[in-house]
Amino acid sequence: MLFNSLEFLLFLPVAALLFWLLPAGLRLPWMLLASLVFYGSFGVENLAYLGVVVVIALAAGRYLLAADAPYRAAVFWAGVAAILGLLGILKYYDSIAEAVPWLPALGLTSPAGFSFYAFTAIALLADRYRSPPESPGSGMHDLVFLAWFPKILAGPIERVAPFAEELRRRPAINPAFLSLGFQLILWGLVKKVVIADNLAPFVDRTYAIPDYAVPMELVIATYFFAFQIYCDFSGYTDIARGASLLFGIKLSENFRRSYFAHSISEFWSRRWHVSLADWFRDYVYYPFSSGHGALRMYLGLMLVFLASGIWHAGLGYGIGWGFLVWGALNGVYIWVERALSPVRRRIRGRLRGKPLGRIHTLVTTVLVFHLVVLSWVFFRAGNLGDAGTVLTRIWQALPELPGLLARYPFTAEHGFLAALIVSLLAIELVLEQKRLTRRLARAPRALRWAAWYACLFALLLLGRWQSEAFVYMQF
Amino acid sequence: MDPKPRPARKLPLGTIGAFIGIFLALYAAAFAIAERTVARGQTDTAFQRLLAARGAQVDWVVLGASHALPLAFGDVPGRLERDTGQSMMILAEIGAGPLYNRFVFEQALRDLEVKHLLYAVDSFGFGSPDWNEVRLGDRKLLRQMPLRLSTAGTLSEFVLDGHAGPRGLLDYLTGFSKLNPVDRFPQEGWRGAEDFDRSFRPSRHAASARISYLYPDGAPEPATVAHYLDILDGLFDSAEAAGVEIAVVKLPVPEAFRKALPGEETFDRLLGERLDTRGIPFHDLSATIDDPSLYFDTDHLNRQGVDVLYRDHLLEVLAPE
Repeated sequence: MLFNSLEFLLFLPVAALLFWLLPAGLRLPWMLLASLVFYGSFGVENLAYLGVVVVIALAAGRYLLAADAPYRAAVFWAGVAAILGLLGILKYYDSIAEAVPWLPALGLTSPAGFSFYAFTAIALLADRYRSPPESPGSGMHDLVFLAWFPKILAGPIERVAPFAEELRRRPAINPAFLSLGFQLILWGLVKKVVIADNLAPFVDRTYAIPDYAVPMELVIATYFFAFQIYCDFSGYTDIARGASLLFGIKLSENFRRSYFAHSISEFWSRRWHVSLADWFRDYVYYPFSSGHGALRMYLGLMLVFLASGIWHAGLGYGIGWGFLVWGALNGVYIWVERALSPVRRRIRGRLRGKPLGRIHTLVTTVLVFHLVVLSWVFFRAGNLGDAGTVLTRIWQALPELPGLLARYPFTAEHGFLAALIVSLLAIELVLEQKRLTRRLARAPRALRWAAWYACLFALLLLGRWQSEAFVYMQF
Repeated sequence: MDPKPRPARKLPLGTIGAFIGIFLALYAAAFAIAERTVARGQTDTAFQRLLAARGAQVDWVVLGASHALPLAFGDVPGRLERDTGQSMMILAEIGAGPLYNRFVFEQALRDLEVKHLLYAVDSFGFGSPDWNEVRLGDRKLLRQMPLRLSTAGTLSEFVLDGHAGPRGLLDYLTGFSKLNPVDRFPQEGWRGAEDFDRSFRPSRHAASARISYLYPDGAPEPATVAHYLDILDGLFDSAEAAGVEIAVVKLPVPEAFRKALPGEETFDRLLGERLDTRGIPFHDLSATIDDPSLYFDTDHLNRQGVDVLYRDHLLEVLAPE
């Protein structure tokens, strides 16, 4: 039951309607039941994997609530090790067994969204271990926290305290919430079904055998992939947040118009998969680096990006060296940025309020975007050989790119896909201007409704409704 | 202390109703435009041809899969009319097995006065749901199927009988595929009439790829063949009940291609038994044109091939002396 399937579009309103019709005391169990039905629709065996993580998190998490319990550290580390061990075995065992002759292949697969609820469970244990009073929650709250269906497949990776507070607010029906929920679902679907899924076939064709593609195609496909993965993942998050709001539960904002970042650190900390970045910051970077000087800070930053690369690897991608390089490359970007930060601050200070300041912002935004696009090559190609082919062929063609551009036989498909990207950027540019967004929110009803209808008909007329899975579900 | 509960507010039901009402009106308008531009006024598919020819008297209706389509490209209906005065309508469809043919034929019996049915049989159509149940929900075909109450009725019956999924019916009734093409930028595919004048250079690789495509599950299982022969029986029952005379034909394919078809002998035997029981004449023309230069691809006759087929073999079936 993917978010972009007919089944989900029928399931969601029915589940939400019944939620509001039920007495308040039955709503939490209903949320849990709806979550199990949703997740079970991807395979009943998935519920067993979820069950194992839930049992570990619940058993350890309840124990850790008692601040004076005698074996807190042991229980915490055992819980984390069990969850990470399971995640590691499911993701990497068979890839390793392929390389190690004496290890038998077990044909293991990681169920959809496993690492997302594994990370959520680790966050629960870590928060309870550090500060039990700040991470309260009943057993039922914990269950819903772990299994809540809008976020189970690909996040956002929530924290127990704010989520439990959302649950304790006893949500009441609120038109503003419902309206925002529907807006997010609609915009998320447009991003996924209209933009990402229309870009996907061109990218897939070109990246299938990079040796067969001409350099211009590789350039175009690489740019297209940047927008495909952005729309796929941020579209998923918007739908997740919107679906959750239909039940009166707010989820955290995971993406903020990512390609308008002015720096790589802004991209990763405030604009792209923010909940994962926060997770790595709080549970990997701070414990490793905090208060240990510059060297540990730099090592910690690289550790975070390498860990992120390792997390993406495994499964169908084998060991996934491409993801490791992707992670390492981003780590290097951050290193360079940190090293240059005094210079950057000085330049920004001098240009503040001047016309050149705007040009500087534009140039840095474009530069950051291209650095990110470059790293996506390793992400999309999956293996180093293909990534090398793509980059080498583009590099070799760079001097003659203007000529190639003029001679390239652009088709209606290119035009259509480029128009989708330009429309996305135009809309996001408007959304980036908070004052303009607020004015639009107060615009006459006819104008607002016209925007809704435009989105609905974009979905109907331009959407690719082949129920393509979301890219990040596999991780 | 528990956080402050969120206050409840009344839903503006009137506003929601107005929004949905306007949406439905806009949708209906878009549907009407798509129906006119995509589904009606063209004759690319069997259902479009039937709509265009409503009420006509037709001597021969031809059903089958893509092997029967070159008859239309080569204007066999026109030549038959000139030679014998008999009219013919080709209602074959690409990748259509007996279930899809039956769906088309039910509509043909409603729209036309049919005298004879020529069923061009292909073993691949009896080997997989891909060419039958799946085709009933194929969005490319649904896109070009004019919205008609009678077609909706037949499709509903197929859904109730378990031959088609409700998704296809929903698509048809809402016109979704007419508004939203499944293949917006098609890559290379079968070009049919555009390649009709070409001569094909034999290629073992192309033939093998084509056979793998036609027989996705390998050689058809006898039980599967029997199931689809039952469906063909149902089609023949409808035809006979309407007083339509039936002839079954197997159209030519090149020798190398024919010999590579999986499970062809079993299929021939099972088909032969059914047709014998019903007393339906069967004309096996599959080995009559072996020259690969008379085909425009691995297994479809080109213009010259259709000329030879019509002149030397088919005319005898359609208008026996």
